[in-house]
Amino acid sequence: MTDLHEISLLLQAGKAKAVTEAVAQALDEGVSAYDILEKGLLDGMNAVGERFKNNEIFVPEVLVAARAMNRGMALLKPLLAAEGVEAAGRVCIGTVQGDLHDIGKNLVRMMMEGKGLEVIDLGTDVSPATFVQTAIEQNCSVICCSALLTTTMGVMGDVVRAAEAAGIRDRVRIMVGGAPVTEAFCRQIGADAYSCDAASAADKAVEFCRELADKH
Amino acid sequence: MPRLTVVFPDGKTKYVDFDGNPRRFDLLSAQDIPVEHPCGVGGGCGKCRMEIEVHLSPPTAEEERAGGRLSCRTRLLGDARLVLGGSGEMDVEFYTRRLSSARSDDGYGLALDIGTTTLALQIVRLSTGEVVGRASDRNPQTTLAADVMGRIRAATEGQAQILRSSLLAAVRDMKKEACRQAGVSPAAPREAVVTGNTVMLHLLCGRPVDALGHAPFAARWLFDETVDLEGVPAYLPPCMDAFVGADVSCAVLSSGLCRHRCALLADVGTNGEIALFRNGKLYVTSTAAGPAFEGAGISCGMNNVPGAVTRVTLSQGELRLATVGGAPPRGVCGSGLLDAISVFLKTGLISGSGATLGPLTLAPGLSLTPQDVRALQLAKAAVAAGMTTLLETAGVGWEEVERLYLAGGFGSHFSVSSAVDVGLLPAEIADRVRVVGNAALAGATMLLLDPARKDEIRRLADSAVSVRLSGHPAFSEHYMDAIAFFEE
Repeated sequence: MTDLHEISLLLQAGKAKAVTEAVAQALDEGVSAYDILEKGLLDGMNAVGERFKNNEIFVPEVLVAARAMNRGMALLKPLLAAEGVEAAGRVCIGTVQGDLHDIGKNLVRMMMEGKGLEVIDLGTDVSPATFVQTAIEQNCSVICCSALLTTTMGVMGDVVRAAEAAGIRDRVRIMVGGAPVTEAFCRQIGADAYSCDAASAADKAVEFCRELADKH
Repeated sequence: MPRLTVVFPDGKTKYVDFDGNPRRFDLLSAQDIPVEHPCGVGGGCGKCRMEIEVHLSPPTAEEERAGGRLSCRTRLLGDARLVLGGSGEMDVEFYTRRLSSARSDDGYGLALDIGTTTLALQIVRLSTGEVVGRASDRNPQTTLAADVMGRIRAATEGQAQILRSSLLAAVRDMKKEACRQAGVSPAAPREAVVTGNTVMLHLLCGRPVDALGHAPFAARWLFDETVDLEGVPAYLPPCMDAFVGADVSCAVLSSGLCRHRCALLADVGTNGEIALFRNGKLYVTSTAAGPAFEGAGISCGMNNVPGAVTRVTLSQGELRLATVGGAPPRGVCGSGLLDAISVFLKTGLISGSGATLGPLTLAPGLSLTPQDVRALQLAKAAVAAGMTTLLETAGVGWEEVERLYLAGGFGSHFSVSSAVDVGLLPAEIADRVRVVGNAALAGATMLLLDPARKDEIRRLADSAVSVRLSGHPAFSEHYMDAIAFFEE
């Protein structure tokens, strides 16, 4: 019998091949895709997120762990749909218009996926209109904006205004992050949350998704 | 009217009367009292902390976090007294090789390098190439924002005029000082060559910089033109791209990069600029290293000022520190940071992946934090990955590189072996590294002494292939690979 905690540990060590094999074996043994996801993959990414927050591990370790998770997820995805398991929520993410630096954004995406969220990655240089349109069409609960440059972070304010103009502010939360962004800036532009690291951003997004699901 | 008493490091005092409840920053900048605001008056970095007493606003959240009163946050409610810490003179490296002159005319010329952080100026006798006067100063724009992006933002938010006038004022003072050393009148230099990065030259000329602040980062001016610098004709050498400026063109010229079959030049600062010359072709790039190499963004980081740790070595298990001016250690500058991390890697206090395993103490009251280690990892990875990506673009391996010229802030304190230990440079290049100091200023001086070389630098800049790294897939890969110190 496959120990699901073992899958979590393999994922934390970034062993993609071993994770894939262990997931396949657990499925063969009749373990539900949901259990493998929760107690194996997401449990592992949770631990990775905590260690990242505590400065014990850094970007490259998160990256290899996320790669291992993605390999395992590829096996689980069709089965999860069949089992009727829904994602913890849906968010869209991108670097704002004029900003091409996506390493931080990618890290946030991985952490969010590690929390069981469905993430629509809009890539880099994303216009406020695209953020808002995606949130409407794909029914996202959260818009996540990333900026590395002090010269582009102002665009985040445009995203907030575009969301207001589209009348979706009551059902979409806007999160902001990136090296020059601060809590004060977040408040100033009227966004809903600032996170100082990728793991905290993922926690916050889950919180928002739950809150909005309860509301509706 | 309430009054702020400012006590300077030399004991002199100045009184500033004010209305309302201004921030300390507003008062000091109006009085031209230099205080660094590295994060652009954003309340975020905690570096403008200073001693102030009496009638003040209650501490803000940012100030509680910084553990002191910040110039950009504290408001003065009544009479107050401010004591400025002694930062002392900056220790700036000049390029000391005597350049030969191709000119026979008498008179003096001025060469100036406008760095984002530091200004360096020299006066040369045109007929002999002799440097007769030198001056350096902190770029006064630093008080508004530490990096080029911050400057662009400040300029687009209506402060372009202040950025320009403060720079011109500092240059005027430096010119006066250098001419005094030379024993000539400040009117003696009849011509100038002014180099600097693309953004600095825009700001100097008062040209709009907004397009340089966001993708596609299009530079409307690449210079290669002569402008008027307060009555003196000043040649501004060509820039190669928005983030590969005339300073890089000048450094390429003066280092002799293009005399090799294959060689690299790296200017390691907040923006790591890299140039690769191979078989007649020049490739250039710039990579956002962040300010860690200049000691900024580091909890105990500082510039090359007295008390800054420049070298850290391990001798029989004991740490040995060298500081600027031999003063008691107060903080670390870029070279000291590289050394310190290298030593802590050796003593096992930092793991190969960069985790901090014990207290990173350099001296009583002076330690690095785990975040400092991470900041250096990101900085060195950006430069290392930039070099790898450029070499790959040109299809060159490190073994082909005949020479690596290192220019910029590290200067002569830079330890190649520490750079190898932390993974900034690969071990195989170690014996082919040459530290060239302020190669940009040397290039500007060459152009002054031999105007025919303007053709050379023009050709160089025209033919350069600029490789953009943000969003470059291979760069991201190399960057991730370069973050760890070594495989565990």
